[in-house]
Amino acid sequence: MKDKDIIGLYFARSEDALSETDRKYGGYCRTLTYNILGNREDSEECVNDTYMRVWELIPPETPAKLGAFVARIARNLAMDMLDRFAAAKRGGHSHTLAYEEISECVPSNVSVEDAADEHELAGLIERFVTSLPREKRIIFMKRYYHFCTVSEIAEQMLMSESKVKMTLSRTRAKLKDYLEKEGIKL
Amino acid sequence: MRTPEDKLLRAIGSIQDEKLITSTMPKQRRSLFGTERHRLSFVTVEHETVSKAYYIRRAVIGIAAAALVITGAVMLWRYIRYDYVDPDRTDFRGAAYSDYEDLPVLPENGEDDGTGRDNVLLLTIESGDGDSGLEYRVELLADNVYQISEDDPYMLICDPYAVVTDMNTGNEIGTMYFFPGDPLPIMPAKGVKYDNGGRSMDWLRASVEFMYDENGTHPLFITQYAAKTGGMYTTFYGINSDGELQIFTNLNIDKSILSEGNTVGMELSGTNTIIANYYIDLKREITFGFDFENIFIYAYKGTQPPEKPEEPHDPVAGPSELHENSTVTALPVQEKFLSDRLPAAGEGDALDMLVCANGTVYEYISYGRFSYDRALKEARDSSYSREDTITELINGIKAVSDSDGALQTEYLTLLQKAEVRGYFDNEPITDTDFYYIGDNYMISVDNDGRGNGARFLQRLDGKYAWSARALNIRKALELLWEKAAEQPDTYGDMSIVFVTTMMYGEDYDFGLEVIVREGTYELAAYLSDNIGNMEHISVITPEEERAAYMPIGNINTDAHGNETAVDSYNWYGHSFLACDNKAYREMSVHVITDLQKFAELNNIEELKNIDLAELTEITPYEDIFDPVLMPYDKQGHKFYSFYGGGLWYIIETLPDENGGIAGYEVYRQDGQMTIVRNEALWFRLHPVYHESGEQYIIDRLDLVNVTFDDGGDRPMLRITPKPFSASESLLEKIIKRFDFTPYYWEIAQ
Repeated sequence: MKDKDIIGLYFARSEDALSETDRKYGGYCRTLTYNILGNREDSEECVNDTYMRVWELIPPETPAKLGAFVARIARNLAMDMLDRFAAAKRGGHSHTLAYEEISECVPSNVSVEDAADEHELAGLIERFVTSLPREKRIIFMKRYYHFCTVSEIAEQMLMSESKVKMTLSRTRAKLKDYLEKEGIKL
Repeated sequence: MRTPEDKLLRAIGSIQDEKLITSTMPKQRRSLFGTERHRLSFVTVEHETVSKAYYIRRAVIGIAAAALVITGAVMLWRYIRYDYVDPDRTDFRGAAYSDYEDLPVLPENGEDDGTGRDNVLLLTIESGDGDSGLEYRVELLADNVYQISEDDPYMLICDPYAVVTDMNTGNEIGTMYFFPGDPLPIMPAKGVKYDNGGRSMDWLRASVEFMYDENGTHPLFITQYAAKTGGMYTTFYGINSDGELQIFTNLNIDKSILSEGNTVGMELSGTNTIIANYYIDLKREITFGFDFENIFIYAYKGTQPPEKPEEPHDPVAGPSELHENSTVTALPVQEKFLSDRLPAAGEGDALDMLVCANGTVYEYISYGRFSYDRALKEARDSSYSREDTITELINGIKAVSDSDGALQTEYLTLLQKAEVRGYFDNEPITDTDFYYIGDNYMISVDNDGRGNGARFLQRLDGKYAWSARALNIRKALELLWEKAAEQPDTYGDMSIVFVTTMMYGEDYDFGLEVIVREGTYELAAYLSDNIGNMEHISVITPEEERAAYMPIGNINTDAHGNETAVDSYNWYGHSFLACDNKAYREMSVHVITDLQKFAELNNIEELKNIDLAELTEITPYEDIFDPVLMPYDKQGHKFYSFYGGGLWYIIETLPDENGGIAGYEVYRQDGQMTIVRNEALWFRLHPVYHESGEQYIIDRLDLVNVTFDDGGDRPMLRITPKPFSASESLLEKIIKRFDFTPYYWEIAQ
């Protein structure tokens, strides 16, 4: 079913909207949340929360791309859930590694007290990602947005893991330089 | 408080570009061959990142694979159809053979006289017989050599010939031509343009074979000219008792061959061999023998050759006893001439020429697979004898053979003199160039996809037409313009049309039709007197003119009088079709249904009463014609015919931009009715049958030309589209002349 039709079901308040959403994006959401949370049950719970959130938001919202809309919600919910689990030191393997990797991007003038506005930061990162060459852009997004593992990315992109790692490393370095030039303090 | 890393990850998660998110989203993996993953990039596509890419690439791969398969099949078919020669067919030994693939890249040797290199040595064959000590050298040379394509060094235009030299004495014995006694360019030389994807590029395949007889005492030289598209002309040379090179023109045929119904005679094409001026169907497994003492060939089937005739047959007049045999065609010299000059082609293609040379109203224009005899049989004018036809044809061919690209340029130059308004965009392939003469006449030079283009008259007025042959076109034009300049009131707005029908390849057959205003008979006489070859001009009466636009249906019957097939065509060959009775009942229903609706709407009795049971389906165009040869097929025209009320009807479907049917043209056998129906598509015609029942009226005069013919029981309005709006004055004339209602006039505005 097309996104437009699924959204139409939401507007019609038909519960079929949820099953259709799950049919189309459920696999992706589970993978994404599992990569963050590292636990099937938590992932499943997070996906269910995602659908509930989508149900609440549509209407009135009419996302242009339902997939992106669902992904964003699932991702944020998973990360929120991860925060709650932080004390227990639980975290998805992929997310944990991504977390460690992304630390390389933190500008050297880090000061947690000088927190940059999250929207401003998101806008800068989006511009940065958009400016990347296609292949690097895809790898970056797969890794840090969708939290795919390096091996998964390598397989999907038909390239070696070492190349993926090298690409990610260089992209992180670029991002760091970029954020520093923009005067970002985190 | 979130850590910087957490903030970064969340910021990444806040990216708003939905396309970026969805396009990088991992998805279910798919491959062309199931669900397994393949590392090969052409198998596992990048659908994980851009889903459309998967389908696009898969489609591309599918198309490419299909193209490969089709290409392979075509190549195989062509090889089997045209190229395969049974190597065991001859008992001779020591054969040396070369075909065009052995030709060198545009030879450096030879003399360039500005029309291509002459005396270019393409190939040398030297062979001797150890027992007899004979040694001969055959050199294949060519004049007027051009390399046609930079990409393919073997595509040459040339006039080939071969020189035989006795290596023992060093004496040159003689020259062999690919047609006896009269060299003919295998490719047309000198200035013929090949920017149209012309088939002639695919033609050249000249070969020379050289062998000795079984005893090693007599050399046999064979020139062979074959078209890749079919047809093979073989000429055998031997050395006579005077030591001269001589053609084996005499033929002795075992009568048993004839008794089995084999065709022996002249044939223009196909998988047959022309030996001198005789043709033998190779499929009959006929064996050739060579009498080197008397320089004649005998043909037989089985193991024993026929007895040697006391006197060899005259190669020109043809063997009289064979002539008397009902299964043998004795060939007059004209036909020999004809066949020599017609390029080896697919069956029947040369008949285009024949028909146009007819010069009568009912010219048979054939692009299809028809035999020579059949074409002759179907020449419509019974008063026009076979001999006359052949003679005229020969003259026409001579003219064509003498012509070159410059001649065509001259035609166009002359045409441009006539340009009063209109445009000439010089687009060679797809467009039509228009020339207007006065207010009432128009010439359209209708490119046919091969760049040579048919020339059609779109007459707005006038009752009489002449047609003339190629030889006279240029002169006729000159005379006409001269006359027009002298007497502009009388001849200033005469109209001229070229009717060009194509031969199979590079040669043209031009017909010239001259339309003058009513009553100007004297111009016809003037032209015929000054052109000096009246047989190339025929005056067409109004009835004939009208009939010329109608389809002609021929019902072919078998020996028992049963219908076997139908051929139909109109004068210009546009609506050529053929159908088989077997498929009669399967005509596309929607076409007829739609047509009947149209008939009902417009109260056209002839069509309303069509009996569906009598409908016929015509073999799809593409099944009849080589699509390369038939540009109309490319344009999506389809032809159907049906028989009703004692008359044949032809329906030509007109394509729309989307490959659908934009409308129909319906022709009736007696020529009394022509309906043009295009529904706001192609040329956006929309004819309406007038309430008076006397005229067909169209509502878009700005896009069409109209010719009215008031002869016959029912007036006929011919509607011709044109690509630009007619001037107001022209429209006014049309309106006034035909008394269109204001309603239609308003629409026209």
